[in-house]
Amino acid sequence: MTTQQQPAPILSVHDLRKDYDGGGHHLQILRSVSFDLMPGETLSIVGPSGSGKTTLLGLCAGLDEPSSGTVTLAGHDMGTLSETERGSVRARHVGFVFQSFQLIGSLTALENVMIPLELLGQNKGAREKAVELLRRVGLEDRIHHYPLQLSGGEQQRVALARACVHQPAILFADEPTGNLDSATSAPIVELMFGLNREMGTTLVLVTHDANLARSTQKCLKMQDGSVIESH
Amino acid sequence: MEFHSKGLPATFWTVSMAWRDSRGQRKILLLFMLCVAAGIGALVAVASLRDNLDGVIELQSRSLLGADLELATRQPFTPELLNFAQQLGGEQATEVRLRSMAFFPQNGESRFVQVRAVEGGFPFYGESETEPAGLLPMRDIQTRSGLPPAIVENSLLQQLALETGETIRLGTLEFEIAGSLLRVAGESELGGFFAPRIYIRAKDLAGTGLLTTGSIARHRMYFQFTAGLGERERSLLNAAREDLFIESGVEFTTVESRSRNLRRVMNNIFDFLNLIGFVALVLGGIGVGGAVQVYIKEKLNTMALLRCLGTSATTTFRIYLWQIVAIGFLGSTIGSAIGVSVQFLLPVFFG
Repeated sequence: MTTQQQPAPILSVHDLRKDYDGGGHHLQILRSVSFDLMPGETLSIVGPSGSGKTTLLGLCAGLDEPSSGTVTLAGHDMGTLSETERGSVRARHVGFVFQSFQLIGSLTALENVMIPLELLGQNKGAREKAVELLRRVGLEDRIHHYPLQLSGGEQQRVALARACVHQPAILFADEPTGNLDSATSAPIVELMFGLNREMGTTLVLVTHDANLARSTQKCLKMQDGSVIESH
Repeated sequence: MEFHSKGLPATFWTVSMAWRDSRGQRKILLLFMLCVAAGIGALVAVASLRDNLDGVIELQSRSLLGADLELATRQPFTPELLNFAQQLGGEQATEVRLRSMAFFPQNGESRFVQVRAVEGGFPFYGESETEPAGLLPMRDIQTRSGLPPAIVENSLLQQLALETGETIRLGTLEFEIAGSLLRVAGESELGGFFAPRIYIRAKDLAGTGLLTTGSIARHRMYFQFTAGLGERERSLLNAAREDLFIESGVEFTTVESRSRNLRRVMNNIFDFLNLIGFVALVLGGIGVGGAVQVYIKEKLNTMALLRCLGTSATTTFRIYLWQIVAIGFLGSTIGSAIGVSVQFLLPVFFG
């Protein structure tokens, strides 16, 4: 008899806590957060400002170290890895989209998109891949423009292309449409979900946008560092 | 666990990233580089100048003195000293140097001058320049007026619009200007800056009435020996310095002691310049260091982003290290080139 092996979660968070000590105060930012996310799933994290959404996102991506608990990303227990090793996991498996775009101002749109491939040593065909992705996000005629020469929506599309160019297993987006109006937001959202469908990229969104949150398969509602509702 | 390290060599990527990242900041980086270049240039210039002058002193030590030995005193030569000079032998020349006013009858002007009454073939070494050429060492020159000849500092002639053949009065004696003095062997161009030099023959000095009891004058005797200052001359000097030189108030200068004194003076000047250069470099370094710190602070966002994308801390550090190293290297190279070039440019500017 053969048994069908259950696929491992791409992201597994268990009893995650994050505390800060400062100014004579002990702050609990995250209190025992746990969840699993399977490859290709989409998750939104919602909640009021200061509820710990961005902290949770940073911990999941290995940008920060938890006070306790574990984060397993793409099979790697992030708590056991050094900072350099965590960086390497990010480079291979993670894409990031930030609310404020965070493009490197001294690089052109094309160069910004090529960076993840260069970091992985995939320099062969990197330019073609980056150009293709920029074409997909509708910026084929802006590839040699610097971020300052692009509008907010265009910058976010470049950021999205950069986050996806190396076909990451998981894409973290921290309020990706927070700085954009609804007309500019729609194509960005459509692109993110399109990439999720086509590439099977797992999507983790932090958002205040209730409509965007409803578009994901899973949702974590947070308040004061705790998950108060998940579905 | 396998981590990304293949493909683009890390060093190539960091250099490439450092270059790309410097876009838009290159004017600031150029400014840093020029600060470094200026500091290094100053130090290299001082060091090169010191080396060059050391070499020149070594090569031209004889020309700097103009003789193998110089005896100098504030009093006229005593018979004992003249005896000693006879013992020393060699080619000899004398000079009486004093300061006085010179009167120029053509325009009624008078000037403070340095009178040098010379006899013999001094300077024995080095080239002096006069117009017409070859007037120094001083010799008997036939003048048109029959007056004794005087060679007058060129700057003084220009200042007073005088020409060769015109008259100059020193004390009670009139001289005819036989030529102009352009350069004296072993002396700088500034030698006659405060008191222009006028050369006359020693035998004409008495007629001027300038040298009487109580006159402030410096009497010098110069020697040239066929094989330089030898053992015999040195032993005679060593014997005389204990009694004769003290009694007669004689100071003696050899080629070696002149070089040594010059080096000492130069070393003091260069130590001072080096100290200034070093302090400037340190202060400049602190300034550049502060500016680099501000520059790096402005780059923190980019660094954080690169870390976020998976770049290691070491690689991120190297990107900016390359930029700073490149500034330092280029600044030092340009500074060194400037410092060395100054050696060639200074003579062009100062003739």
